[in-house]
Amino acid sequence: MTFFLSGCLETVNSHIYFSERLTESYMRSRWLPPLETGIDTRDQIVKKLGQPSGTFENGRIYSYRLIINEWKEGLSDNMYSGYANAYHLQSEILEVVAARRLEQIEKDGFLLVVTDENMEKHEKEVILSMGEFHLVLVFNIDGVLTRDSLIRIRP
Amino acid sequence: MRLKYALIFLSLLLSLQGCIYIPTPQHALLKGRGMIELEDTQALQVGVTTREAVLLQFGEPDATLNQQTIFVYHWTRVQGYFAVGAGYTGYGGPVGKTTLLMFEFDSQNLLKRFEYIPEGIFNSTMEAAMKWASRGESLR
Repeated sequence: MTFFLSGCLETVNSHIYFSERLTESYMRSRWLPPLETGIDTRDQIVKKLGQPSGTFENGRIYSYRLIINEWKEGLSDNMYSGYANAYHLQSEILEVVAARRLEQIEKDGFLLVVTDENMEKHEKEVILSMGEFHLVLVFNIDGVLTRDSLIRIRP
Repeated sequence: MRLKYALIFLSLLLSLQGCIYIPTPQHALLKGRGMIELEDTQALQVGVTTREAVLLQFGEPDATLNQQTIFVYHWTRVQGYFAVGAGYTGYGGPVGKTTLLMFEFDSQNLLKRFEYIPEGIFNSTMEAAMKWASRGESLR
């Protein structure tokens, strides 16, 4: 069946497919809590997002490594191998498979802040995540948010 | 040392008779973060650009050295494919090229130097980064 359908099913480049859909604006509107420049304090940010992945210049700058984790129960080694082969060794994948993954994100996904503490636990999910973003937050001397930047790291 | 490399080369030559390597222009990301393009670094100015600006533009570094005075960003892209065949079996896959983008900041948190460096064949990413960092120390 697969053999016969192979000429009919459309394949896509997974990097392009996900990068077109997992945009900064999608991430902000769908997954990030609202951040209020000039109002939010460091403590309020930690309440919204949790502890940062990194801090710089004595806590004046926070960084958050963000992925959307679609596997609530984690990934078994078998699942990991299957996905790794599908998404990393082959850049061309079936569009229907990629679309299903995005549906899964919408249904079960949650924002995960990757830190040194939880990296080991979530390593497989991080490697296979469809995208990774970094949120960089700058605070003033009073600990109030003054600047923020959301950067797409991959794809 | 030369003899060692000659022996390695000779043994590879003898054992990999069914090996083929197809070089390609660098393309898909194999590992790490997305590539930071040269044009993205063109606005950076030594002595002017701050650590804050680098973080806001490129995100959290993959590693830091020397109390965060050095930032390391790195990525691996496909630069070719190899295939090894023997009898009725074979194996193939992409060959990656790792590049590092290094930044050093001074005590005022201003950019002191930055450079793209290749990982090199015989050293790891962190070894390449530490070598770059120590080169700065010798310049002081």
